[in-house]
Amino acid sequence: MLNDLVNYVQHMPAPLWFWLLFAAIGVGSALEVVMQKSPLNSAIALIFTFAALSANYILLKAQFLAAIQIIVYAGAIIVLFVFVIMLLNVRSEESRLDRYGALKWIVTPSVLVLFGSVFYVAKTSRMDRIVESARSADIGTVESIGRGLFTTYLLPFEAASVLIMMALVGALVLAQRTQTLEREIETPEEPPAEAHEPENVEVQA
Amino acid sequence: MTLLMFIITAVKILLVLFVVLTGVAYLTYMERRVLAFIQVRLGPNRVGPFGLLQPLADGIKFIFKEDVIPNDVTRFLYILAPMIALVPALMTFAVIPVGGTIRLFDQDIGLYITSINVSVLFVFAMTSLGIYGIVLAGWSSNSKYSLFGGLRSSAQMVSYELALSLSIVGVLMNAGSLDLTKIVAAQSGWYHLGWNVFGLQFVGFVIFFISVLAETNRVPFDLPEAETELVGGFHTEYSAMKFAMFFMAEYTSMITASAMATVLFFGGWNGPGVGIETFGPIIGVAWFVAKVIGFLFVYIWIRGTLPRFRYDQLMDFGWKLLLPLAIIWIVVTASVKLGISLYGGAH
Repeated sequence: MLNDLVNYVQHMPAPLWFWLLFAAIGVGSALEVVMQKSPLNSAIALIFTFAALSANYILLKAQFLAAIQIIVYAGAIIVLFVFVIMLLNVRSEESRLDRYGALKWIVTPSVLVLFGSVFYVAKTSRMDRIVESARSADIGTVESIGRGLFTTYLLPFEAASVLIMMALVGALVLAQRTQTLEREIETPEEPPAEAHEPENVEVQA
Repeated sequence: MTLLMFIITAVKILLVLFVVLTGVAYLTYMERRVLAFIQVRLGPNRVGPFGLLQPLADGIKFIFKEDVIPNDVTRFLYILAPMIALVPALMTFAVIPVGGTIRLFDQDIGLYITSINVSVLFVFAMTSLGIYGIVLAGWSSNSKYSLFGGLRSSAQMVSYELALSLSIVGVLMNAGSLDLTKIVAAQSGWYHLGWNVFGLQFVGFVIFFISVLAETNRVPFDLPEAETELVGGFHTEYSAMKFAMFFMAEYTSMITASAMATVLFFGGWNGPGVGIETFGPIIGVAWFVAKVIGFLFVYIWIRGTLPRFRYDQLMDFGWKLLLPLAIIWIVVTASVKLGISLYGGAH
């Protein structure tokens, strides 16, 4: 069993090595995302997760997806996260494990089931399929993705965009309502508290 | 990949790094001289002939200055931030083509480091990563002014990135590719003068250039480092070489932005004389460099001319004018292209 594994590792093709490297970085930084106490550090770890994921997309010959992954997630969404963290001056979480003691009886079995199923899938499917798909064809190019989106998958694509549009309008309506409510109450409001006093700025080494 | 190819690529990378970093150094010199000329002053003219060695003197000064790390900063991020700002700015040059192909050692050598089929997206990805340098610098400095600079910068860059990426869609439709070399090749018609800017894409170019000014934090969009309000903005707490790295990042982004404007809208290395047999590629590179320097001059010219925006004006301008205009222009370009392909097949 162990000899088989060693033999397998020794004869792995180069892309698989890189895949393992980036997968390790991805899983490691993903763990950091949930384990870091400072929210900003979690956000930075999330950037590394996306970068590793994007590298694995490139190994799968999906350059378009890789670039979009960086632009949309690392370049826009996490920037917004960081922006919110900075603006609201979010503090570090204290350890609250004691408050949710019962949770571990639910979480531990669920995680075990999750890992078990992942392991089962990994065992029944073949690892070298990754390399095969990397060798095969240009499924990841802009042209093929665009063609797919506007022919075969047009309906799901349009449905998703309608959904996003609804979310956008909904957010606008909600924000607008809060504003009108505030105007109706017409209490002499205090100006919002200065959130950026230097001593409040979070310092986490 | 043979050994020769490997060496050629390595030489190309080193050459590009050398040229860009030297360019950054002399861009600061050019900026100071041109600004001085605009303001009827002399500018630096003592170190070397015409002050040409001034960047060297500045560099030595930056290296030997004391590198102060304030007590209350988040140390790791504080040190990391200038590097995060500089590295993505330099990485974009990996895909920017400065010329066609030349023949050396029986090899066709493309005058770009690499050519990938999503190079436009690669440039945008690197630009969007550059934000983190500024944001993290603002956060980790543990200072009110730095934090405000970082906040302004992240809001501003995220807002103008939308208009920036939409403004080039017309160009992409013309070229039918996301590969910068193919985009340049698509502009080689009309005796190498079929540049995108001569035609419908002029509006796209205007939107692109304004957004790029905002993305590179240049006047009139330099609110993240507005001296009169924020001391120095996100780099208030930085000194010595770390401060210089932010400077280098900003100037590198300026050169990148000028190169992108050249490639996307001004035909890249295309220009009269490029078709000539042996010297064509060299003339092409000269065209490219001349165009980039022209754009850099415009940058400095704008800095010498315009005052700074107010913050709400900046946001209104980006979201309520540039973004809708960019979307409208995509529709116009697409309609015209469709119309030509349907009815205009006569010529």
